[in-house]
Amino acid sequence: MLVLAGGLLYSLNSSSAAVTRLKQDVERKEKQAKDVRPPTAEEQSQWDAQETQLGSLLLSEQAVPQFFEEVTRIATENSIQRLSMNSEEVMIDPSKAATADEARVIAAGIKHYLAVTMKFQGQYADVARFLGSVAKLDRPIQYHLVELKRGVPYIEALVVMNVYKREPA
Amino acid sequence: MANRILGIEYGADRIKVVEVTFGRKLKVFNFAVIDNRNVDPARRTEQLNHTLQVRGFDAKDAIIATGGGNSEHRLLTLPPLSTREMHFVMQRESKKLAPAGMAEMVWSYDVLKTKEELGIKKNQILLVSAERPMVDAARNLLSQSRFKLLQVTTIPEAVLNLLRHVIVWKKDAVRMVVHFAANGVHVLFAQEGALLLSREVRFDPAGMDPEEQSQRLINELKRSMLYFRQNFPQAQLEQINFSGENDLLAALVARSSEELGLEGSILRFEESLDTSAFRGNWDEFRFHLPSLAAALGTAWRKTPGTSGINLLPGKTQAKQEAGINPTKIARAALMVAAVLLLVTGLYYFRERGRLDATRRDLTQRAAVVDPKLQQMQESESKRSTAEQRAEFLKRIGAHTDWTELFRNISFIVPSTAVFEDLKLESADTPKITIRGYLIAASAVEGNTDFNRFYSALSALPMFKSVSMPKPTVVSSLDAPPTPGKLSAAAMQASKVTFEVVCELP
Repeated sequence: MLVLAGGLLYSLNSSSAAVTRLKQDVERKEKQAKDVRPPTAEEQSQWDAQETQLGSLLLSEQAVPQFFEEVTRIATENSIQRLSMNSEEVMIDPSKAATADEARVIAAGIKHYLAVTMKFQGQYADVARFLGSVAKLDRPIQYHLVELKRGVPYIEALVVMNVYKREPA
Repeated sequence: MANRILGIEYGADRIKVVEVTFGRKLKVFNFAVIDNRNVDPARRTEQLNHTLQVRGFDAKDAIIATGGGNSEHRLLTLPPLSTREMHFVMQRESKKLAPAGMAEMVWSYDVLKTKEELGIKKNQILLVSAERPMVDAARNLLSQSRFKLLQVTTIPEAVLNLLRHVIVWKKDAVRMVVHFAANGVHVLFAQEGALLLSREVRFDPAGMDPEEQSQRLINELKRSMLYFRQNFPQAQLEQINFSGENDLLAALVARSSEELGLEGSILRFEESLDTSAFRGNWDEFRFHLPSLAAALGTAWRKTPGTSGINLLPGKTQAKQEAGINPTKIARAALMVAAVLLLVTGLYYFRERGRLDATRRDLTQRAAVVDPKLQQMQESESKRSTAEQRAEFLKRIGAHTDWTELFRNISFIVPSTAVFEDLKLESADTPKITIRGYLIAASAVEGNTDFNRFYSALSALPMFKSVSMPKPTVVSSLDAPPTPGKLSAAAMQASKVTFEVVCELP
C-alpha cells in the first residue's frame, strides 16, 4: 500500500511537471503569436511577381540545347578557336550547401543548375567579345571562373559558368 | 525522579501502608500501620485519609494487596498465544479455578517468564481469580480519597513480588513462604520467582494459648506441605521463610527444622531498602518491617498498574493490549498504511482533476495559438525566400559588360607590359587577378610604366577596388643587343613583375 501511495505521488509529480512544461510552452507561443505580422497584399503580390519573373528567366530542360547552340554560334561569330564544352548537372542539397553562393541560390528556391566548362583559344579582343556576348544572352548565367593564359599566337581560355535551371514540372 | 507510590496491604483488622519509589533498591519515605478493628467499615477511608495526612504522605497513586476473601492462584504453562486467545484461555481457566458458589469473580494473569521445554517455547503464567466483593472493597477504600488506585493484587502475589527482588533463588529449589496477615496465613510455594502453589488458611487465635496456636499452625503447615508434594512430587522443598505480623514467628522458626524438616528463617530484606529519605520513626519502622512485607511487595514495581497481577476490571486486557504484539503492530501498521493510502488517493484524485483541467485548458490554448505560429513561420519563410529571390534576380540581372571591361584594360596597358594570365573568380566578391610583367630599359622606366598602369586601373569605374596582394619584383636581365649600340649599359634591361587584384562590384 505504501508502494502504491508512493507510486501515486510519483505519478502526480510527473504529471504536474509535464503540465508546468506545457504551460510554459503555451505561454511562450502565445507571446510569440502576439508579434505575428501577416504579409500585406502588396507584399504578397510583389512576391508572386518575383516568382513569375524568376520562373520565366530560369532555363527549362527543353531550352538547354538551344542555349548551347547560342553559345557556339557566338563563339563562331567571334573567331573562337578549338572550343570544347562540357556540362554537368548539379543538384544542390538544401542541407549541404557547400558554398555561400550555393546557399544564396537554394534560398532563392533554385535547386538545379548546369555547370558548363568551356576551353578555347582566341585573340584577346575576340575572347573579350565572346565573354561579353554570352553574358548578355537573356539567360540566367553566372561566370564562376574565367582563366586566360598567354599563349602563342592565341590566348588559352578556361571558362566555367553556372546556368540556373527551372525545376522540372 | 520516579513518582512516589503507596503500597497498601488491606486486611480486615489492619491497613499497612508504605510510601516508596522504585529503584535498584526500594526507596522508602514513610509508613503507617493502621488498626481498624474497632472502626466502622464505612469510615475506614476517612480514617486512612486522616492518618496519611497527619503522617505527611505525599504520594498520589496507590496499589492495594488485598486478602480475606476467596482468591485462587494457579501457575499455567502455555505456548505463546495471541491476546485474544490468551484472554479466552484465561477466562476458561479462571472459571475452573473459581471456588464453587462464587457468583461474581474477577481474574487477572501475569506472564512470569518464558522457557523452552523439548525445544518448544512456553510461557509460565500466573492466573489469579478473586471474588469481586474483595476487589470492590479495595476500590471503595480509596474511592473517597485523593489517591488514584492503579492496581489491586493479592497478598500472595505481593509477597512473591517482594521475594523476586530480595532473594537469590537457588535453581530448582522450592521455597516455602508463610505470611501472616489479618485472620489468615498465606502459605506460598515458589520456585525461581514463580508461584507454584498458594493456600490461604483461616486462623483465629482468639482464646488459644501460644503453644496451642503454634501447634495448630505447624499442623496447617504440614498439611500444606503434604498438599504441595502431592501436586509437585518431584519438587525439592528446601527452605521455609516466615513474614507478616505474628508473635509466634520466632517460635515457628525454631520448630520448623524439627517439625517440618525444613530450615526456617524470618524473611529479611532490610538491606534491599534505601532508607536515606525516610522521615518516620526508624525504630518503629524496624519493628514493623516483617509485617510490612506484603505492602512493600505491592509497591515495588517498575511500572505500577501494568506489571504483575491487576484485578481491577479491564486492566489486564488493557495491559496485554499495551504490550508489544507483532499482530497488533502489523494491524496498526496496516491501518496506518490504509489511511495513508486513502489520504494519498484522495489527494491524488483531487490534484489529478486539477491537472487534467489545466491540461485541457492549455491544450485548447495551444490549439488556438499553434496555427497562428505556423502561419507566422510560413510568412517568415516566404518573406525570406522573396528577399533571397530578389537578391538573386538583382545579381543575375546586373550584367557586367565583359567586352567593355577587357577593352578598357587594353587601353591602359603599357606597350612594355605582358599579361601572363588573367583570372576571374566568382566568389562572395567577384574579382579579377592579373599577373604579368613589364620590361623597360631601366628600373625607373619599368616602375614608372607600372605605376601609370596601376593608377589607370584603379581609376576604372567598373572596379570597386584595385589592390596588390604582394609588392612588385624588379629584376634586371640582359636585353638582346640593339644594332648600332655597342655600350655595355645599353645592353641591360629591367623587369618589373606584378600581380594586381581588381574587385568587381
